[in-house]
Amino acid sequence: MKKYITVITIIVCMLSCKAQSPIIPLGDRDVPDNLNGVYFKDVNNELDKFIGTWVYQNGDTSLTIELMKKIQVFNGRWYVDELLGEYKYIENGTELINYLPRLTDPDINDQQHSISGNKVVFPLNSPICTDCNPTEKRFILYFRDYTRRYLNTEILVQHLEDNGLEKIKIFVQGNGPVLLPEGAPETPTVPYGEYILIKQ
Amino acid sequence: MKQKIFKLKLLPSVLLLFILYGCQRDTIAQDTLQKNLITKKRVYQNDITKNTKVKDFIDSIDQKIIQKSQDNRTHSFNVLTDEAIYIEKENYHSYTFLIQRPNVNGLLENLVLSSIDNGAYKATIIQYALDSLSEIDHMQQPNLIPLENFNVDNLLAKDIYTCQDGEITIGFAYIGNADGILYEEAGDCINANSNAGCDTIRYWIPCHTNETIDEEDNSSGGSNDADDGNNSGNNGNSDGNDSDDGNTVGGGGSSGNNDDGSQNNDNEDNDDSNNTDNCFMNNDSSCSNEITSPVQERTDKKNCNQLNKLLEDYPVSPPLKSPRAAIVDLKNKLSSNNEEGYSFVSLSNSNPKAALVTNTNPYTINYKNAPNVYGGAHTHQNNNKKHPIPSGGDILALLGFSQQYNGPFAEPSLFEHITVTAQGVYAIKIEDMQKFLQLLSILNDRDDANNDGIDEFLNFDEALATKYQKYDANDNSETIAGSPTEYQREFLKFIADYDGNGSSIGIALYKADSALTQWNKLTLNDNTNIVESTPCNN
Repeated sequence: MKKYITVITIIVCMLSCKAQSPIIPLGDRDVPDNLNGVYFKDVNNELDKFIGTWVYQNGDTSLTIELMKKIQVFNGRWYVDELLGEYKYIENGTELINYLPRLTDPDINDQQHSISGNKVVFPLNSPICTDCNPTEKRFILYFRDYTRRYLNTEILVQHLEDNGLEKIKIFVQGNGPVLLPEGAPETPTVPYGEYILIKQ
Repeated sequence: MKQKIFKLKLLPSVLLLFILYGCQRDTIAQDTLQKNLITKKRVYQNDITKNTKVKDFIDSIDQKIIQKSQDNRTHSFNVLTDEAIYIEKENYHSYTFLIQRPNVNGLLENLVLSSIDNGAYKATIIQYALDSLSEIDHMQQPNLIPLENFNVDNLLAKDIYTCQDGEITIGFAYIGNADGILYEEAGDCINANSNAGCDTIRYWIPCHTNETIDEEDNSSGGSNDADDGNNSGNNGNSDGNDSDDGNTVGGGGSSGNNDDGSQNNDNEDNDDSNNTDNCFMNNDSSCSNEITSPVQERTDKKNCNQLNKLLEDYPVSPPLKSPRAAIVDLKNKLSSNNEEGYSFVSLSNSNPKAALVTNTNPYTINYKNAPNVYGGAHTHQNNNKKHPIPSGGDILALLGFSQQYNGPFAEPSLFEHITVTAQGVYAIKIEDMQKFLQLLSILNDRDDANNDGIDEFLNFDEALATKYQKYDANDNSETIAGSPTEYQREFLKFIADYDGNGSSIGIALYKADSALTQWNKLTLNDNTNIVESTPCNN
C-alpha cells in the first residue's frame, strides 16, 4: 500500500510540474516557439517604480498619467505582469481627453485601459538612451486614443530621478502601419514627441 | 445410394452454373463500371502536344488570335497551353485550358476542346462569374460561347449567349494521386476502388440551341458584351460550394451558329431543368455531349504575375511613380529617421501606380485609406528601429487593404504589402482568402472592441514581435543580429501557426532579388526547418 501511495505521489508531482506555465523574465530573449501559457513575469519588480500619478505641465497644456501594476494578467494566450493606466490631456486650457475615471470603472477590463504594456527597451535599443545606466530598462506601453482608434500609438517610458524628485520621460510615437480614413487626423490627440512628467 | 450419387454429380454442375453466372454478373458489372468511368486528370504540355490534332488546333487558335488581336487589343487573349484538365469517358474526351487576357475582365475563362465523332474537336469558351473571393460564383450560370468550325470571328464576336438548364450531383471515388486527378464514378463511394473517400462533382447540363437571335438582341439567355468585359450572367439554381477540381461542367451548345454566322440561343429549354439530367452523355442529338471542369490559374502564379508587375519599369506622370521606382526610392531611404512609404493605386485599364506617403514618425506609416488603394510599400529602417521583416501589423494592414479596396479587379491576388529592409525587399500576398478573412475578428478587436477581456489586435502583433526579439543579438545591443533566414523562419512559422493551435493565416512570403528582377516565394520545409526559395518564374 505504501508503495502505491509513493508511486501516485510521484506521478501527481510530475504532472503538476509539467502543467506549470514556463516563467520568462520580462525582456528575456529566450522565448519558446509556442507562447500559449507562458508567463512573462516582472521578476525584479522593475515596473514598480512607474506606479503612481505623473503630470506634465507646460503653461495651459498638461498631461496627467496614472499608472498601476497588475500581475499575471491573462491576455487570452499568455500571462503578463504589466503596467495599466489612464490619462488626461488638456491643451491650451481645453480638456481634450480625460480617461482617468476609467481607472476605477468596473466595466473596463484590463485590456481596455488606455495605457497598457510591458515591452522592455534596453539602453542601446532604438531609440538609444544617452542618460540611462547600462542595466536600466525602459518600457513601451500601448497608448490608446479612443477618438482615433485607427492609429497605433505607444509611449516609451523612462524613469528618472532628479535630486530626489521622481520623474518619467515619455516619448509618444506611432507603431506599425495605419490605414488612415480619408480626411482623418494623422496624429493622436496627444502630439507625438517627448514629455517629462513629475510624480505627484 | 442412387440419390447420393445423383447429388454428387449434380453438385459440380450447380457450382459451375453459379461460377458462370457469377462471371457473367462480373462482366456486366465491369461493363457498367467501364461505362460510368470518368477519368479526370491534369495534363501538361508534353502530354498535350503528343496529340497532334490538339496541338494543331491550339497553334491555329494562336495564329488567328494574334492576327486578329493586332487590330483590337481588347479582344485579344492567350490560351495557356502549358497545362490542361483532361477528362475521358468511354469514347469521349476533352481538354480544358485556361484563357488569359491582357485586359482583365473579372471572369474565369476556359477553352474546352471536345472530341467529336470524326476524330476532330469542337471548341467552346466557357466564362464563369467570380465571387468576391475569386472563386467561381455558382449562383451565376456560366456563359458558353461555341466556336462552330472554329471561326475566329465568332470567337471575338460581340454577342455571347448563355444556355444552361440544370445540374446533377454525382458521388465520386477518388483514386488518383496528388499530381494527377483521377476520378472513378461510383454510386457507392465506400465500396469503390478508393483510397481517399468520395468527392462531389457538379454537372451543368447545357440545353440545345435552336433559336436565332440577332446581334442586338441580348435579352434572352443573359447575353454578355465582350467589349466592356462586364458579365451580366444569369441566376442559376446551384448552391455550389465545390472546389475547383470538384466542378465538372457539361458545356457548349451543339449548334452554335447559323450559316450567316449569327448565334443561336435557346429559350425553350430554359424552363426545362428537370429533364436535362437525362440529357447527359446520351445519343440524343439535341443534347451536348461535352464535359469539362474549370481550370483556374494557380494562386502562386497569380500572385507571381501580380508581383512581377511591380518590377516592371514604365513611365508614370509625376508626382506618381511606378511601383518599381517607388521600391527603388525606398531602398535609398533605409537610413532615414522615419518610416517611408508609398500607397499602391489601381486604376482601370492601366498599370499600378505608387503615391508617396508623407510621414514624420520613426515607427509608423500612415497609408491613405482611399477606395483605389490596394496595397503599399514601406521601409523598416536599418538603424535598428524595426525588424528587417514584415511585422504582425503589416499582415493586418494587408487585410485592411483587401477590405477597404473598392476599385477594379478586386481579387485576392491583387493585394500586396511590401516591406523594404536592409535584408531585402519582402512582399506578403494572400494565398487563401477564406483563411485570411478569419483575421478580421482580430483586426476588428482593436482595444478589445468585443469586450471579451482580450485585445486580439494587440496580441497578434506582439506574438510575432516576441519571436523576432530572440534574434536581436543580445539584451543590450545596438544592432539587430538575426540573419535574413532566421527572421524568415520566424515569420513563416508564425503564418503557419499564429495562435499556437495550428491555425494558418493563408498568406505567403516573397522576397525580391537584389536587382529587383525577380521574386522568390519563401517556404519553410517542415522536416528540415530550412527556408526554401522558389523563383516566381516557375
